[in-house]
Amino acid sequence: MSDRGVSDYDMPNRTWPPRNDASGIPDASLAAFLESGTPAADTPAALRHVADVLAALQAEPAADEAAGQATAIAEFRNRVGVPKQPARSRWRRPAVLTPPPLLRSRVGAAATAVVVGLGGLAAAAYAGALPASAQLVAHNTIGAPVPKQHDGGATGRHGTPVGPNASGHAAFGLCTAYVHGKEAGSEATKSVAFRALEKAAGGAANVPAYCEGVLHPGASNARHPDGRPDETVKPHPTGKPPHP
Amino acid sequence: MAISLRASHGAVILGAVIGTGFADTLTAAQEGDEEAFTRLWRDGNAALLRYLRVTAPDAAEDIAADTWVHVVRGLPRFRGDEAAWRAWLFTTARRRTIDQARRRTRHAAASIHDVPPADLPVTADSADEALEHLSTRAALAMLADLPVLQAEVILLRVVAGLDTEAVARIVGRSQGAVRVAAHRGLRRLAQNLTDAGVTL
Repeated sequence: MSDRGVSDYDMPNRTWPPRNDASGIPDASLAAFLESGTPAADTPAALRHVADVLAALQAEPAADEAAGQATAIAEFRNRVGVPKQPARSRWRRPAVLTPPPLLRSRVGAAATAVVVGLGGLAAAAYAGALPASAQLVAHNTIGAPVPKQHDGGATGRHGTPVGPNASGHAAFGLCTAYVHGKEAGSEATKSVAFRALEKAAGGAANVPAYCEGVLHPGASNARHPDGRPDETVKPHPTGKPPHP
Repeated sequence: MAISLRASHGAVILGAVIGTGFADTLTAAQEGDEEAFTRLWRDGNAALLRYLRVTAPDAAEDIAADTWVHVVRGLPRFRGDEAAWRAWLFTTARRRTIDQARRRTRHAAASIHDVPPADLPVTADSADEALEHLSTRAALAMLADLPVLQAEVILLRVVAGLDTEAVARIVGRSQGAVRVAAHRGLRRLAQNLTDAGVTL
């Protein structure tokens, strides 16, 4: 506390009388007071009156402090509460809209199975290997071959599936399914039907060339003797056709 | 004369009221038991209102109601003991207050100067009688005369029953800062009582 040019030593060193008030209450007394709620025996009188104030702060709830109860409970009933008498009423949700968890998981699993199974089903449909009625549906919906009498899948002596005759009429459907399955990366290309196709083609590596001949007879082998695509031809499967 | 805060009015007071039955009460409320929720509400609402009447005097009731709406929404997901519950309650109230303060200016609804002399504690030799006369409203008015942080810290410690660590989290200050604010607030409160004419 000094002014400019005045040394601290030149300032009068006055001793101020201690205030007869709360400023002298030690921190330890205040901390203990807050913890226990009770002033210690040596606590200054001023703090004892503070205790009166704090006690009043903790008094029983007054009537006007219960005014919002109805609103809060109404909110609770709406959000959390359960009806005391759960009748078969409008509160019950229809099971169709919100199936229980177990059912939800089963539905999910079934949906997954349908999606996974579609690849194999499509392969069978293209191969003409479905029962006649199902094959007719497939024909009408995904353009699979019309149902045939005897080109469908065969079953071995002991029930082992051997797949369709990939050298016969089923070759076209099998090859169509093979091409689609390859494009989609489908696991269905590993099915029994495709193993029959591989056998007919003389090996898995020969299937593309074999199918090229089946799907485009008389053209493919001449254009792609080595099985590679003709890089001079730029297909535009999704793009706009070039303007003339 | 030693004055006990908890026995002074001879009745149940605010702060950690539910105690050992809290976990069961909370679970029941979370499962939809209205009676259990009512117990939680009654335990917390008075403390909440007293806190808000100092920190947001113009909108205490509205903010308290808004706080309970938020608490009810989060009730099924709440996990914790009674101290955590009260900390959550007051944290929610504080956030609601801050939201309100963006639209309002804080004006203290009352000050110690507005308190009728009959409501103030009187002489030392009649301190017991003073306890009988000092109303909660008068006590809140005295808190409202303190700087906001000091009043808030004292209320959270005394009315909400929270420890220093919890209060520090709620107000976003260090524990040391909370202790300093509480001590300064108590000293100032004592000084204000002296200045208001309370005979020591």
